[in-house]
Amino acid sequence: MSAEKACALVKELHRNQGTLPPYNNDLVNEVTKEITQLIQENRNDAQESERSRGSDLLEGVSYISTIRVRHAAIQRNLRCLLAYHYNRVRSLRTMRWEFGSILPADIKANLSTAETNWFSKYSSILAKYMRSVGEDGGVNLAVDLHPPKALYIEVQCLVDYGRYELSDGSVLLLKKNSRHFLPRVECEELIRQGVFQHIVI
Amino acid sequence: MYLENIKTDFYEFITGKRICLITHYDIDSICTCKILQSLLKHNQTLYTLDIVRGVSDLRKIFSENCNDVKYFVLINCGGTVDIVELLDPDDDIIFFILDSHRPTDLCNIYSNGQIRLMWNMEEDVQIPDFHDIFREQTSDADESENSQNESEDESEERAAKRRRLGEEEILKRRERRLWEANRAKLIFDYTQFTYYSKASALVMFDLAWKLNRDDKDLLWYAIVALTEQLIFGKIENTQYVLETGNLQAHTTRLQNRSSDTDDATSLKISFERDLKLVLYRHWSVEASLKYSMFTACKLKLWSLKGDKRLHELLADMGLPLAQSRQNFLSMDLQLRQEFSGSIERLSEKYGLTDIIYATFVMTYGYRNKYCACDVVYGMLTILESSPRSKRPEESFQLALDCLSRSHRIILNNAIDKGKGITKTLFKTVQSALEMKQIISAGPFIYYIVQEGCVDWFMFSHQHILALLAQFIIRAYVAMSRNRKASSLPLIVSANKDMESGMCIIMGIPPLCENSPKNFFGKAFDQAAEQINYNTTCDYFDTAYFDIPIKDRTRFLDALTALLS
Repeated sequence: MSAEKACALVKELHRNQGTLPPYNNDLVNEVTKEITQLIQENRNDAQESERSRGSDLLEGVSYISTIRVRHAAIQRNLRCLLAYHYNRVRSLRTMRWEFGSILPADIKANLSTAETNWFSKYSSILAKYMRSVGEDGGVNLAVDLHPPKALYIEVQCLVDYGRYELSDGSVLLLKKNSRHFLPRVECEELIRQGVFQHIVI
Repeated sequence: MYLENIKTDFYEFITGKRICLITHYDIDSICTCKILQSLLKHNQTLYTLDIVRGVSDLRKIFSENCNDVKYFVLINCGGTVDIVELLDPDDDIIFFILDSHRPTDLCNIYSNGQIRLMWNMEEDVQIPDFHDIFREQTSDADESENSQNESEDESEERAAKRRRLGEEEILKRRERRLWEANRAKLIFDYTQFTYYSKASALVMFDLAWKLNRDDKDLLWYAIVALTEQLIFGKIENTQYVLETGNLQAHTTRLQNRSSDTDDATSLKISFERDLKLVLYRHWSVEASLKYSMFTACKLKLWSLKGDKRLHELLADMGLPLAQSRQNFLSMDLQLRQEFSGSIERLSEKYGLTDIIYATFVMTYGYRNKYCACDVVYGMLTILESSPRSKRPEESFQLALDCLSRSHRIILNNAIDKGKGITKTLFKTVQSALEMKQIISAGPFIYYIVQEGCVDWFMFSHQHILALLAQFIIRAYVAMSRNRKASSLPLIVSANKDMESGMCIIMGIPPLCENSPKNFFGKAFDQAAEQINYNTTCDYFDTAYFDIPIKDRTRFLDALTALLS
């Protein structure tokens, strides 16, 4: 059955929703091969149909239905390939906003060369934009992905972290289950690491 | 040193600085903490929250934080101990103390700015005068100078001087001895009784009111703290009534000020006359009547006759037995509405006068109606009856969350467990009375929680033990034929946990005195000295004491000898 491999590609991406699986070069190549094969068969049939029509308009083998089926298969393959590549790039973009311009090594290993190129170009465009916004060197827009409701938040410490120095120099002792009230910018990093938990009233 | 104006001296002083909030592990401090947290959030003051259960915890937390933070706010801890001597802080560290334990330590009162007490001087009674307690050190210096001069002079002059100086010295020494005897007496009188005064949450709510940042939520926290003091017998009835008068004024003032858009479901606090039945809105009528301390003691419900009397009461009220065993909210509407009225009517016949008292009820949404004492029992369950694997900090956070309205589920679960606690208390008292385990030791009666009885580990916490003590003393006085029973104080003891081999001892004053002033602090100290047990009391409330189980009998003997 044609277009099965393309379906397998999409299913693989769907199975790994949160992370990025390795770029499945083999399967992509197989799908492209299948597309070319289908196109070739279509062309053959079309030529034959043209030849057999020849003089007699009514007589002649018509392969129009087969051609249509194959055409549908070709379009399906193309759509699956596009979906695969597009979704990978989308998740790569979210990762840029979450992790910053340096990706973790295990994700970097899963990218294809085209994707790495795309990522570096995207990072540079984003950095240029962030530099231009706001005064004094720009604003790091990736700090808050949701608009913050308050300047200071109450957080609860989940692990025994030890001493932590704030940006104004004062030192905090972070023990498990201690509560603190701190400026938002100081806590974001630790919340992302899982050390802090934001307490909502 | 007392602060004259909390608003400027405390609140505006702290603005912008980083503080460390140290709170004691009880319900009043949790309420105070919540009020203070909302005030500090408005002010954007950074704080760190820590919990202490005793003096050793306070020392540990202080030593961990003293290098980083300069301002400490102590809630319900540290007022009764000499902070400077205990913690040995640097000179630029400032302590703000808000403690409802009394009597306040004299060194804290007369400190020159390092320790600041956040209440009025008039509320502390009978503080000895400064000069009666502290004496300047110049007299010591004079004496040492004299002795030096003596050694330098020649013998004749020395002899002559010695004769002259001898008289002066003898007079000075005598005066000094008299002064010291007077000082010891004053200090003994001052620290003889330990008691509680105005709840810290009420002081904090006053501050919120002065800053115009009060609202119904903060008022509710203050109400819960006051009710807690009444339920655990920390204050007298008259004090309670006075404070409820104040809070009622606040309630009417804040009645129409609501931050919710929908008026039908917003928070409403009303001042009502309610029954002294534990959790009756969330339980069945029969269970609540049977297990509440007030009705159980008045009707003697642990005996068979008591059971019959209970059924008689229910029949008199017109409440069918099947209905009274159902959940209160599932009873017939008419019966529910008449319930409190019919109990009031029959209270005289069954000797249940004083079952009505004035308290506050909160409603929000369409279904939620909680009385202040329901919330107190819920929080007590969370704080003291959580599974042993849970750390105290986690229970504290959970109790903090339980007060806020968006975490209603926590409160409901806690109230469910609270029913279990009340039942256990009743059953323990019942077995104690039946097996005659409340033993009289002459000047007092005592009861030791047996290790095998159900849920014995629940009693290793302060407040549940206090509830048990109140229940036992009332039950004993109700059952005893001895005319002097009501003048005997009670001591209860329970094992702390299986491994440490320690037990907690607590004493409460006799019923006839009708006042919660507790003299056991000093008594425990002296008895411990006599049996050569050298640790001082770790709890901030000196009515509690920790000793090893093997020393317990000797301790009780020493106490008997002391008090007779």
